[in-house]
Amino acid sequence: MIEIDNVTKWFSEKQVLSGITEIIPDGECFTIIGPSGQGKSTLLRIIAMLDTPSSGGVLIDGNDVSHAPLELRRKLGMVFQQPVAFKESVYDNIALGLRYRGFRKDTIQYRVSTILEQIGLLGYENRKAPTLSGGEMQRVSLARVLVTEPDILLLDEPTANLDPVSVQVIESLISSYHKTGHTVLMSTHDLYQGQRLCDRIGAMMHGTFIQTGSPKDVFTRPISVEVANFIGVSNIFDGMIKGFDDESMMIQTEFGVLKGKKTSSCSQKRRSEFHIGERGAVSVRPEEIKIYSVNEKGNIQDNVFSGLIIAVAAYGLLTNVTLDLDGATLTAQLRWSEVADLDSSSRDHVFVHIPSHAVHFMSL
Amino acid sequence: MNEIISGCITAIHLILTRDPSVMEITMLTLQVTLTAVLIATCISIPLGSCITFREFFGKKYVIGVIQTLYAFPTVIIGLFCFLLLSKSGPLGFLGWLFTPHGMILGQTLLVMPIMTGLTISALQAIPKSITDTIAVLGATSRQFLFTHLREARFAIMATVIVGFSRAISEVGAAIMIGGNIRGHTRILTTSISLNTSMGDIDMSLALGFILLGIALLVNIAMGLVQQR
Repeated sequence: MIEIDNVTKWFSEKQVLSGITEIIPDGECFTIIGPSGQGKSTLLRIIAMLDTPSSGGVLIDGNDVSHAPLELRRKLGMVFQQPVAFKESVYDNIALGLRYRGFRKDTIQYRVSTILEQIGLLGYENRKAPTLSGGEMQRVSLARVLVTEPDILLLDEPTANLDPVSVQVIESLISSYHKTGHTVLMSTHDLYQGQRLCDRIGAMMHGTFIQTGSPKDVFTRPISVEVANFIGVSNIFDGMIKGFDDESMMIQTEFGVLKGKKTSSCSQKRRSEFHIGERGAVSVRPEEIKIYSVNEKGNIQDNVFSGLIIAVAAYGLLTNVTLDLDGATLTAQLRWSEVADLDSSSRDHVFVHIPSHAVHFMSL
Repeated sequence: MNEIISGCITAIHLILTRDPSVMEITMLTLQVTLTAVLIATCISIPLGSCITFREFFGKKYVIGVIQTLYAFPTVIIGLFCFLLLSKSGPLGFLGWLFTPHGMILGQTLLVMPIMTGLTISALQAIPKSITDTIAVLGATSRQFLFTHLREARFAIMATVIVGFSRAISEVGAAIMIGGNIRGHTRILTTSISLNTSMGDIDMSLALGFILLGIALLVNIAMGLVQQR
């Protein structure tokens, strides 16, 4: 278990970490997300005993890491953003940590061969590691750590700027390693990678975790506009709580009153703390929005607004439809077939239905 | 011009016939220089490593002083060793003045700063990511040091070549400490100096070619090792 206790870090006059407290249980995969320069790498370096905190401390299985004892260091493995290759063969690169630990030659040979197969570089044993491509080098970097079987795997943006094949191999290795009960702590800019691989996400901003939770929690119920912006939530509007009923909250927005489900429309931490008249921001998940032509509206009553389609643009397998709702711009993500199904004669003037579970209220 | 050409021909003849006096001077030169470089390597690499990886007060100034000593005049080293080894000097009891031992001491002191400084530069040039990787892989202090030295091996080899080149080409310290005694402390550089002043250009050129040949051979050998 990793216990991060009120850790701060100053570099000269600049505070990089400002009192981080978090517990990462054994066997958990925890991803740190956040913009650049927010202290993600610094936190990982402190846990890896490569840096010391200005105050506070880190405990690993109850042991303070500040004195960096060797037996504790050997429980950890860390892979950096930049692939690291020693001026040795691929075999010697991977075997390094095992040699430090005094493993027998035949054990080293077996483990290195096994991991080389897993990273798809079998036959590369005698290649000089610095001659490999960036992706191959990063696979070797990960293999060099995994082969020592550390209890805790620290990864500092391990797939940044790598080719898709290497990303896939590395993700698969991380996932397999996590599934065998090892703790993984990873920072990444790739939000979807965090979702795919990890049990919990911590959004780090201004040197601290401003939100931690399951990927679903963080991505569907960001705690603030800042987090919402970072994770790429579109459709953020100013809003004010107008009222509550048993299951819903009414939020006044610039294009009308939105009804949101209480459970989905506010973060769990603050759910009981919201009050009528409170100002904040409201986000609407674009993939949940439905668009009906005027003739198709039917009898849907709540959260239906009249709007105009002002732009349609391809977005991978989906289509982004930009709508004007009484002066406010809203983006909906529809499948191609849904766009095609809209009555062509009345495509410009449509009804927009925003399901209450797609509405999320955030404090400013 | 003719003098140079005839000197070259005589020089080649002296080398090909393995002239005893030329061979003796060459062997003593190699013996003194290689011993001095070996001793300097054994001191400079650990010292350079220690200065690189330890944090202590005034580290920058220590490195600055070492770098300044790169250009230490050989005659000053010669004078310093002469005073140390003279009968009334603190190391006079060793009886090393005008002996190959004294010359080895002088050359060792001459090349140590440059070898220590270049070792520091070689180790400092290792990317931080390599240092961090070695640390997180769980290396002991000794493993940490040896992995760094191995990673910087080509630069350290170049350091040894530079030390060897400086030692084999110096003349001031060798004359002052060794005294250029025929058959005892006469080495290639001191002999070239003496023969030129005596007008024996053939001999000087022969010794000069040998000196250049040794330097070339050492560089080729090191180059081959680096290419592996």
